[in-house]
Amino acid sequence: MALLLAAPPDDVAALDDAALLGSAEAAFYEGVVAKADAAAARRHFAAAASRYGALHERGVRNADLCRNWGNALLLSDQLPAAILAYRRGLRLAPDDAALHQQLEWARDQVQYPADERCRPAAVDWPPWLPRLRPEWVLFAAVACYALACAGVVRWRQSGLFPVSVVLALAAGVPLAYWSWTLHQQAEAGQPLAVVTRDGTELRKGNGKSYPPHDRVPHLNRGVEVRVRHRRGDWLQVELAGGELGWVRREDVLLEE
Amino acid sequence: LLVLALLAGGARAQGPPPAVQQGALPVGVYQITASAAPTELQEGEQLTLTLRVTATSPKSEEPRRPDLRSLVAPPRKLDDDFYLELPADAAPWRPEPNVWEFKYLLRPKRTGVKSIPALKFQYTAVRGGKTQNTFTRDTIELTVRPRKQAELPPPGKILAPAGAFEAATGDTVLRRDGPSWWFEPWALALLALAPPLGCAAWYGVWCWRHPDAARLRRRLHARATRRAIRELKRAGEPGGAATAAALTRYLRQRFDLAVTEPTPAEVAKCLQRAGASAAVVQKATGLLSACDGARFAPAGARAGLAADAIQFIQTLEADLCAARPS
Repeated sequence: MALLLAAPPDDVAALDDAALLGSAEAAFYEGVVAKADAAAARRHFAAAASRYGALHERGVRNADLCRNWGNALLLSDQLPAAILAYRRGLRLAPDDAALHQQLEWARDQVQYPADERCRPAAVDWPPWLPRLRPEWVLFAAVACYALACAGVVRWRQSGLFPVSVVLALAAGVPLAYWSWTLHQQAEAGQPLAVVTRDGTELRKGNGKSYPPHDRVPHLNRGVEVRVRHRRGDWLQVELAGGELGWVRREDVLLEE
Repeated sequence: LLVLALLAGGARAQGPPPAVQQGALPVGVYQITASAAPTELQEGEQLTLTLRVTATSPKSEEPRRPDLRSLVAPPRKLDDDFYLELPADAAPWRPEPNVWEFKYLLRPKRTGVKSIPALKFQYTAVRGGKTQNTFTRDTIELTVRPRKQAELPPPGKILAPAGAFEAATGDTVLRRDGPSWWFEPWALALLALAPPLGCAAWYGVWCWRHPDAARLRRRLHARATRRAIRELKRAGEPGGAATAAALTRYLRQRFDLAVTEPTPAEVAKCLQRAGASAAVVQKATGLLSACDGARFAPAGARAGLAADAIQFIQTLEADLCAARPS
């Protein structure tokens, strides 16, 4: 384990996924043990974060990894990257209560403008109630469709036209459309970005000569934005309150 | 501030005195005040400067919005300290008939900005014609605070919730949860085709395993045919109601028609679906139309309707029998 911890970042490429995960877990554990010494603990957590990040770059995608990664980033004082990791995890598992909790705590550390209009709304979904996922709606639509087909067969066999055929078709068509809409919404989400620097200027155009935004001239570290367009080194972003403005690419952490 | 014949703000102090010219305000006597709100703000926030122009009497000519940049006396320049913007509605507010309020949006460029300078106006006295300067009464003091910064955690302590010190372990952390493949085109095509194919297979197996059921179905059809022919033979010649009733009952039983009284178009569609030839379909629609005519206009009913119906049923059965694969 000590060998794994001592492995420099260049050697991370030589490790397989399981070994890299073990290395990250060991670094995280070392950080927890060294919690009393903040500087040393942060170093361990930063090492764990970089290894969880390497796993993510290799294509490992799940909510557990994103939560571990976010926690390690948060504990190593990389708040914007932690918020981005939690958001990635929630995209994979929208119901994960721990991810929601950690994300809200991280957002509490962000200095939003006085009216907090840049802060994304907290999720009011009851934790015991599963979210409606597009796959489930699609399955319901297919079930209705299959029921309608079975009704047609029964009709041919018995000569009686079953009302269930009409009901199944009536339910299946809107359900299919709804599932498709949900899927499109989930897929069409614009890339997420998190501001990395306090006092990042939000301008009205893609250049320093443009004036600052009327209501939100500056954004602080950790503010989440959605990227609408890119032009050179500038990104047009939309805040949670709906405001549009331009920020420099180097001032945000972008979900590629 | 009492002035006469105000001219447009003149940042021309270094040049020669201008000649009398048309200014922002029409000729008259005005009282001009400037106010700003808020005067305490954070760096980057915006304040509204209001320039209130009060005439001694209502004016028929509207004053124009003064150029704020040119109202700042040199060496200060408005752009050194402020970003200037106009509100979306640039028209002056008229609280009273002789009062015009012009609003300007100013944003201090830095925390060192302490005031909005007194504004300079040039005017020409009625007598003498010499241009003179006058200023609004005072500068407006401002307090521009630095922006709020995110609080950094204390260096000797890690600030985090208890849950952040926990990490998931095990193979579940190495899962590769990709985007849902259920919405891939091939998966959607599979989902669309599977139920009808499955049902078709079910029906085929059912017919194979229950030949009696299929035979029973054919027997029911034959019975419906015989019954219809019997009824039609009994039907009286005058009036087409009995003929129409027997024919529609036959069609309902033979082709599982859901409607009680099918129209000729519905019957034609049904027969086409069952594989009847175009001639038979045409004959059916003609016969049904004739039945309708006989029912609703008995005087003009043609003779031999029931016999035609019997002949039609026999032709149809022969046609369907020929079309059915052996």
